[in-house]
Parts: sequence; structure tokens; C-alpha cells
Amino acid sequence: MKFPKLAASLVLVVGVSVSLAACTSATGSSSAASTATAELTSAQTACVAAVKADVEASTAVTALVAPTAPLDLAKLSGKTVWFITVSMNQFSTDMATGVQAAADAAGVKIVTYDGQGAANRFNEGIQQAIAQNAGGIILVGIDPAVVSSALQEATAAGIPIQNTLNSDPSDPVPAGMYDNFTSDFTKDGENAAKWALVDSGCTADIVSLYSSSVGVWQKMYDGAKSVFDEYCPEDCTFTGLNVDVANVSTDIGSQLGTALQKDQNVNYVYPVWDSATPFVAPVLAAANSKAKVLSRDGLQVNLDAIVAGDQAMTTAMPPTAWIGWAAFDDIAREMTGSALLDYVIPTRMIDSTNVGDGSASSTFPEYDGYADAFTTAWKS
Amino acid sequence: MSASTATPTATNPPPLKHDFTAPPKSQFSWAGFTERWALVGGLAVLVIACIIIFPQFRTASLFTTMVNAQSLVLLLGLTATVILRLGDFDLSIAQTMVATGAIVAQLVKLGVPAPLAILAGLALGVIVGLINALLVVRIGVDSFVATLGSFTALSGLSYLITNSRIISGIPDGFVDFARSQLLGIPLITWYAWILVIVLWYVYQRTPLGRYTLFIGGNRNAARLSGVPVNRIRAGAYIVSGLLASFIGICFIGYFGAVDPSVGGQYMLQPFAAAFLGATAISVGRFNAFGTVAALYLLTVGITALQLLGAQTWVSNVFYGVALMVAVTAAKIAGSRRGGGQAK
Repeated sequence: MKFPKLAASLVLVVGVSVSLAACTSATGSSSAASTATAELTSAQTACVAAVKADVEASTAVTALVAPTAPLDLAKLSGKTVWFITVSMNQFSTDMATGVQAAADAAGVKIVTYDGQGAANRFNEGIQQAIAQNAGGIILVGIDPAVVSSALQEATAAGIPIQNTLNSDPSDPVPAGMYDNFTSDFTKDGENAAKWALVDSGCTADIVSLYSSSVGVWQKMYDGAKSVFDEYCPEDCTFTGLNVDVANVSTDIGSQLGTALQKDQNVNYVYPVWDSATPFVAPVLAAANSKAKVLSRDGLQVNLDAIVAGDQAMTTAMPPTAWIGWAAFDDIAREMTGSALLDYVIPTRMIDSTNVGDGSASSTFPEYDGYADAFTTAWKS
Repeated sequence: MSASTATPTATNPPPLKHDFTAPPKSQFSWAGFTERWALVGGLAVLVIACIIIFPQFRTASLFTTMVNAQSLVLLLGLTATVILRLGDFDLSIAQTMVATGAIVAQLVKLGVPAPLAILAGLALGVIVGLINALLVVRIGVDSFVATLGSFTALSGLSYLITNSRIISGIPDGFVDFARSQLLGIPLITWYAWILVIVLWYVYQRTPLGRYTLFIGGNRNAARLSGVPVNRIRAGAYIVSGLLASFIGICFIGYFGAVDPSVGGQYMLQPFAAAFLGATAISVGRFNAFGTVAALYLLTVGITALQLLGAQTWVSNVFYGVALMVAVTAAKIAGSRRGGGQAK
């Protein structure tokens, strides 16, 4: 059979190709575009001036958010809190770690339930929690509309359910839930857009990737677009790509690739969630685009990319484990009948100027030792 | 190799001789020609129409972008044909890709030399292939169920290996291996095209390729004819696993990171490409060039829709309808020919 010879030849061809490719290495040059330095028009100057203060405020160090009132730990004794998440991705895993640590400190049992991205699993998780007499449920990233009947059952059983990272703080609390524990996603989208305006001197040509099926992504997209519409309607371009959330990895490649061909002046790409950035990188490389990448969440992967110069900015939340502590504190107060502290998860835009070494100590220095702040307040 | 059909009768006619390892004798017919090349012709017409309508289609960079975006799907689709030709499924290839990427990335991060990490990744592919072969060939579990199980188990393994995190910081060597450009086209696309040629050669020009077709058409008849059916099926699963793990190495270079959650996103599209490919060139049979042509037809169509500003759902509908039409056509063609593969 001649196949082995052919295979050997092909391996040789590949080897030669790889050698040749060294001339056009994918990692040979920086992907970061230079900041606009051209002379600004009066309109552009006014645009930058209008948004610069907000950018400076949202890149400044964020104060620690921690409870100031005590918590009746005795009332929590023997209780169980269910942590039900849309899927056990990196964020959920880290948040669960924080919830578990807080629960351990409070003497509460935690049950973690992975929704595996399936609505039937979300409902099943809530129903299991009801059946096992849960003291409370932290529902992370799950649209209340798809679990409405389960929420009714939980309400009937007297189980408080927290709506976590699924809305803006000011949105109405969904029926069957007691609180929105979340960030201001619309404002985060607005601030990211303002960052791009300042960075570009109000000449930004941005493509934003989002999915309309994820409510908070739509909010960020809407927020960013509103800023471009308001402050830079003439000199800037804002394009939205609504990607299929079930096929993000392939859909981004297809849609973004086409968008970059359609408009070769794109200088910013803004996927509104951090874990999309790996899918953006090969598209930019193939298109030889030097567009800067912005995103949101502040995953360590993305902070490291900013340190390495591979990403321009991410809107970061405090250490994810802190979010777990705060979420637990919030539901514990509801379970014990204490007044809620109306937490809003703060965010900080992190770029090359304030990323430091990318560690939590660099990006959120006020959050060092946050666990002590919680336990001290609980026992005060 | 030749085989005879053992069909003794009262009159004992001479045994029928058929050399199924030889290329099929072709008698030209316009109907057959049209059937074989309709999809390729459709692709050509679509490209020409797009060049006329859209200025972006007059640039080489758009074509580069299109083929680059489909490289992983094409690699997986071609790998899927290895098992599909035998009348079986290997649903685990996408997750083998991700698990391999996770193992290699994690090992490299732990300081293991890249060659050793790559070997470990390839070994995973072989092990997955062996397990699938054991379940499907040796024990007789339905291939769909067995490899769905492998897929699910590998998904869990990927989360375990990565601790449910995205692993980044992939060394530049891996990134260069996938993204560096040769003649303006990323290497990962070249790998896919090379695999097309290799599989075309094996499928069309070697006895092994004919055996796979024979096994896929009628396993019992192939066995009675002396074809080592189980050995070939087991070997195919190992090859499938090995190819999937190679794609895993491309995968970490292509993205520069490993997200353990993406396996499911690559599960169905390769099969769609393979089934669509069975409607072209060797109609009714899973084949390499047909897979390429079909995938690129879809890509060009979807790109054109995107340039027209179509919403995401329009692309999904286009993809789904094209798949239904094509698979129906393949089914009809396969039934007419007999011994076809596209079921």
C-alpha cells in the first residue's frame, strides 16, 4: 500500500510549511493598536471632555463593600442554602468557593447544584431544594422566567430565593424572589464605551458581541450603544453582533470575521463577557486586525492578558469569592429576618494603567482581607 | 483483494466474482454527472454571485477569513467520516479534542516539556478510541450510545483537568502551530486541507477505503467475504480518537486557551458537514471532498447573509434547512445506489 509513503510526504510538507511559516509567525508582533494621537476636532475634543470624568471614576480604586450590621448566626444554625447556577463555569466555581467559605464561617451547610445550562435542570434543582427543606436558594444567572412555576412552589414553601447577576439593581425584583443581587450592567456597558471614546479620541469604530438571549449582555450592549449615539454620533461607528449563545465559539468566528471584512477600520472589539475573548483572538489574527479587545467580568485569564498586552481593558468585578461572601450575607439576612443591605456588586475598569501584576491585590487592593470584614460585622 | 459470494444452489452456478477493492466502473451519464457536481456547481455559482454583489467578496482576505473560521469544524467533520463510512457514529470526537487540549495545556503549565505533553494528549485520543472500540466492536453496544457516553465522560474529565477554569497562557509554539500563515492562510486550514487529501486517497485509492465502504453498506456481507470487519472498525475508532486528539492540539493553538465548556458547541456541526458532504462528488457516500464543498457552500451562504445584515436566526434557519434538504437528497441517492453510506 502506498499510503505510508504519502503520509510521510505530507508530514514532510507540514514540517516545511511550519518552518516557512516562521516568516509570518502568529505571535511575532504585538496585537495592541496604538492610541489615537492625531489632532482632535472640536467635536472630538468635546466628546472626550464629556466622558473623561466617568472613565477616571470607573478606573479608580473601588472601596470595599462589606456589611456593617451584625447577623444572628444562632438563627442560621442547622440551615442549608442551595447554590444553583446556570452552569459550573469558572465564575460559578469561584463564587461557590466564596459562598462555601462564608457558610462555613456562619455554620451553615451549602449544597451546590449545577444547572448544566438546561432549563429542566434549573427547575429540578429548585424542586430538590424545596423537597430537602432548603433555608434559602442563591440562583445564579438563571432567567426567572424559565423557572417561574418552581419559584411559585418555593414561595409557597417559604423559601427565599436570591436573583443573582441576572438584572440591573434597579430592575423590579421578579415574582417569587426577594432581591436582585447584581451589578449595574447597563452602566458597565456605558463606561466601557466611554473608555473606548477616550482611548480613541472619539474616533472609535467598535464591534460589540453580545447575545440578546442573555438579559444582562443585552443591557451592556444597549448601554454601550447609547453612549456612542449620544456622544459620538458622527465620528464613531458602533456595530452590534448578536451571536448564538449555544454556538458562541463558532458563531463568533463566523460573524466577527465577516464584520471585520465589511468594515476594515474596526479598532475595538467588545465582547461583553470575558470568556468570549479566546474566540475573538484567532479571528483578529486571521484578519491581520490590530483592533483592541475590551470585555467584562475580570476573570484572571483576562487580567493576565492585559498584563501581557494581549487585551486592552476589562470591566472587573471584585474577587469572585467576595461575591460569594456577599451573596451569602444577603440571603442569610433574609433568612434571619434582618434588614437587607442592598448590595450592588461594584466594578472597576482595568487597563494597562491600573492592572499592576493582575492579582486581586493590584486590581482591588481594598478587598484584601475582606472575609474578616464580614465575620467581624456578623459578630459585632 | 477479491471475494466471492457463497450462494450454493441446486444448479450450482459459477460463483459471482466481484473485486470490490477496484474503483467502480464508470459509465458516463448526464444525470449522474449533475447529481455528483450539483453542489460544487452551486458553490461556484454562489461565489460568483457574491463576487458580483458584494465588494468584500473581491478580496482574498474574506476567503481567508471564511476558511479559517471553519477549520476546526472541517477537521472534525473529516474525522467524523472515518467512522460514518463504517455505518457507525463517533460522537466523542469534539470532546476528545477539548479534553486533549485541556491535558496538553495543563501539563505545559505545570512545566512538562511540550513534546511530552503532546504525546500525553495523543495517548488520550488512542485510549478513547480503544474504549469506544471495546464497547462498540467487541461488546456490541450501539455506537451512538457508547460514544455519547464517551462524550459525556470526557466533558467531565475536561472540567476536572481544568478545575472548571479557562486555561490561558498557551506557549507561543502552539499558537504558531495553528495560526501562523502560509501564503496568507493560517496553518490550521492547511492541516484541514491536507487531511482532505489523505482521506480522499485512503477512501478512493486504497483497498482499505473500499473495505470501509463495504462494511458500511453491509457488515455481514463484508464479513462473509473475508473482510476483517472487527479489526477495521476497531482501527477506525483508534484513528478517529488519534485525529481528534491532534485536532485538540490545533484547538489550543488556534484559541490560545482552553475553555472546558465548548465541547458541546462542536458536537453537531461536524456531523452536519459530513452528512452534507455525502450529497456531493460521491453521492450517498461520506467522502472528503464532498465534506469540504458542502461546508464551504454553507459558509459562503451564511457569510452572504451576514453581509446582507441578516439576524443570527436567519443563518440558523439556512443551515438547518440546507442540512435537511441535503441529507434527504443523500438518503434518496444512497437508497438508489445501494451500499451507500449516508443513512
